[in-house]
Amino acid sequence: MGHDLANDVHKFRWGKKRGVGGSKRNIQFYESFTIDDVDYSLFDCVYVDDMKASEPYIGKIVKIWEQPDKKKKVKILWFFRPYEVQNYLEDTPLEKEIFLATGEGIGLFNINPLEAIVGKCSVICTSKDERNRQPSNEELDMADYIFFRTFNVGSHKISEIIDDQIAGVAAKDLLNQKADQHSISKFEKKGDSGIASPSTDILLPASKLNPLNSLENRVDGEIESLSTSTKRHGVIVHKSLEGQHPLKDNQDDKSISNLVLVDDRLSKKPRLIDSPIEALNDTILRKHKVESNGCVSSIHLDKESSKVTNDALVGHMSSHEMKLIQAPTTEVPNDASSRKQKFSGDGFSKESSGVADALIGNRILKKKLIDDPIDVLNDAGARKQKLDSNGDASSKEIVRSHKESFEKHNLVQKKTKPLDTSLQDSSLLIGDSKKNDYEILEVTRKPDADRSRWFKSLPWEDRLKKADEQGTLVFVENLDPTYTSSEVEDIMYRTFQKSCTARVIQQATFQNPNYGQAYVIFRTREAADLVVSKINKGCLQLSNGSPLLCSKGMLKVPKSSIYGHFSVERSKLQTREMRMAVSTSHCSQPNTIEYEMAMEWVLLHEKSSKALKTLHKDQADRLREIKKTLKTK
Amino acid sequence: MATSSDDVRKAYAEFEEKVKRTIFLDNLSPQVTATVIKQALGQFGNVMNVEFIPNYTIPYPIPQSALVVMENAKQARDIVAEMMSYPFMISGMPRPVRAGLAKNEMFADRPPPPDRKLYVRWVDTSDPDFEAFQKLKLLYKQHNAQHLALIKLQLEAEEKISTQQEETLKANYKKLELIEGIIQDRTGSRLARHYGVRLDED
Repeated sequence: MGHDLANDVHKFRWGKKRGVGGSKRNIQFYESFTIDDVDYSLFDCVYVDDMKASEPYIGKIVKIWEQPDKKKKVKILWFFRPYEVQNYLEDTPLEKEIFLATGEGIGLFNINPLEAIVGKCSVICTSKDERNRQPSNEELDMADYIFFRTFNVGSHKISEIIDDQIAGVAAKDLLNQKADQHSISKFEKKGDSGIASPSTDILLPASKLNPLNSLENRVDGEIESLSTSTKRHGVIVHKSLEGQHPLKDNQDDKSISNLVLVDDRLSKKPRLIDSPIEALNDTILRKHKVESNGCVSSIHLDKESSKVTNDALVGHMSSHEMKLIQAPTTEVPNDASSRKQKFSGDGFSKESSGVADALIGNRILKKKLIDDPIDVLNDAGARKQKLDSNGDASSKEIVRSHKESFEKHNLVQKKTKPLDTSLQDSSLLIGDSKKNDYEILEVTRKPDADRSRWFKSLPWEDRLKKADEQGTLVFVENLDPTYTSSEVEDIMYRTFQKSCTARVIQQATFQNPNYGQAYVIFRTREAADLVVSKINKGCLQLSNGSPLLCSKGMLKVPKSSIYGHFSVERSKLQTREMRMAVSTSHCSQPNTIEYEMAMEWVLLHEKSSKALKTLHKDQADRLREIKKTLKTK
Repeated sequence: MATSSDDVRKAYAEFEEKVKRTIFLDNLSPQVTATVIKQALGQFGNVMNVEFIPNYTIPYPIPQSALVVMENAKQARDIVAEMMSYPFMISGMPRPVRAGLAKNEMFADRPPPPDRKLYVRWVDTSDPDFEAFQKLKLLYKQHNAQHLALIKLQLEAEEKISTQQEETLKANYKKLELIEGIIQDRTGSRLARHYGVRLDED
């Protein structure tokens, strides 16, 4: 179908070349490519849609090339979902478990047009195979799928053994990727500077400084760009560390211990500090980043980073040190207990009790050792000055990344304790940091990153239901009724950096023409929750002066029905015109009883629409009156 | 998914043209399908497309409504005029279908008007207008409640008139049955003879 068309619309760029092949040496192989600022590399896992299956297929890119006729192809080694191999399964598969294809035969791999890829997918290998880098809990949490078993397409056997070569690909490329040199060097550099503390508690509060600025900064949309992000993160890490200098004195202990930790972790987690942006983004594609980098969200949010550090710690540090690092995370009692659970489950059972103790003990320690995040929040203003006084061109960048971590922070808090007051605090802070300067965001077109549009998606009705079940559905109200579906998507994207699919409620007879409404489907439940809480706690004003309102889930609506249609038994219909009248479409003639009744209905219709019109006019007047009193236009 | 402003303009013009030849049908029975509508309106012109407008927001059982795209604007206008002058019924009577010309806001997939710029801003608690915005939020809720209440009232009125008519109809059937019965068992003709009246006029 319209693949070529799609190419025109979607930004496409080849990455690194890999060599040429084919009988005439006219086939160009590549290592990576970029669509709409999303990088795809060899051995990335992706969703592939064939427009038939309800769920996209999952596969691993094992070859990328361009044919002489400019057709872009990818060779995809498949994963099987449990239901696809259920006939051969003897036990219940784990949650999120999928199976790598192996052996020889149909279904091992396919050569697909590159355009069939609809998005990235995070698949982590949990095989105990020694060639496999063992994933951290964090990675497992973030992964969309895991695998440790293979399904032989020839013999139809499921096995835990991963062959040395599958479809001509070495096993090492199929398992979790090892650290790459590049990112290690980045870390060493960081280490050299001697201030390698994962600056969680600095980054985080600062993040609340000026989300609006950061929003503005990102209007260009390039924040999405994965290709540049790596570079940028390097910068961010550096700069933010500089910015942290003046504050750092009282935290030497912690920094040092963290440094150790980071170094220990290096080999396993090459990009500990990498890409908060992707990690934060809720899309599947970005989650994938986690997998391919081994990046552990890196956000240095209290909770997140602590999980990372915990992993490292279990292997390398005494429990005392652990206490130090744990401290920032323990602000919330239930938080702590939830972590305890995680720990006990993760195979480090020996340490887990110690960790739990540490956690509990730490709440007391915390205040002394490390700035309380909330406290820090309160003197956010001061922080900001410090950052500013650095006169650093990169502060924008920091702010930008901070915004991201801020979001994640909110999100995390929401997850752990939905009614946390600190959430409220932070939403108030959004306002404070704005300095009442009425910064206005222009809503521009969001980059058209929704690859699923290449394909016909499910009917909206089904998507709504699915989204409602998954908790990703948000009902937005008090819109300008002239807003279109795409404009609602743009607003959500510009305000929250969340991709979504929106559809306005069509203005039929029973809709209030003064107000627009829309259903918005986000990619994840977290994103939906975040948007709802932010909009309802804060106040987002639209161009027409109305504040947005929203709620989760779908409104309950009964089935359509109609009054005033009589089904009379056919035998009873003695007169000719009556017999004709049922189940036909016709104009009624003025000499029948039907006509008389129809006239009664017409009268009622007129009355009803008049009444609705009057009400809506009154409402519109009232609305205008209040809007007139607004001081800011 | 056009990017250049010319394309956007063109897409929007195309959309507006489509709106002009679309009619909005309301008070349709839930049994009505696209095929039924095509057949019903086929006598007036070429039906290009039928799209039902689903109800996602009104918590009452309301009749179906649909957008019907005709071949050209004239056909659409003619149908609306016809349906305004005669009560038109589709799959059910005696409640007629109501027709009107479609409006832009009735389409969920409409393109945004070209060159429109949207703005949003976070209003914070210290904003002088914060109060006003809280009021606006409340006002919306209030208006929505009023709106729904009115719809409920109207539906109740519909129900009332519907029961009334049903009774009238039943009585009418009874009358017709009675007459038919008299004629069939020849009571009618006997009576006619008795009173010297000619029954069959033709």
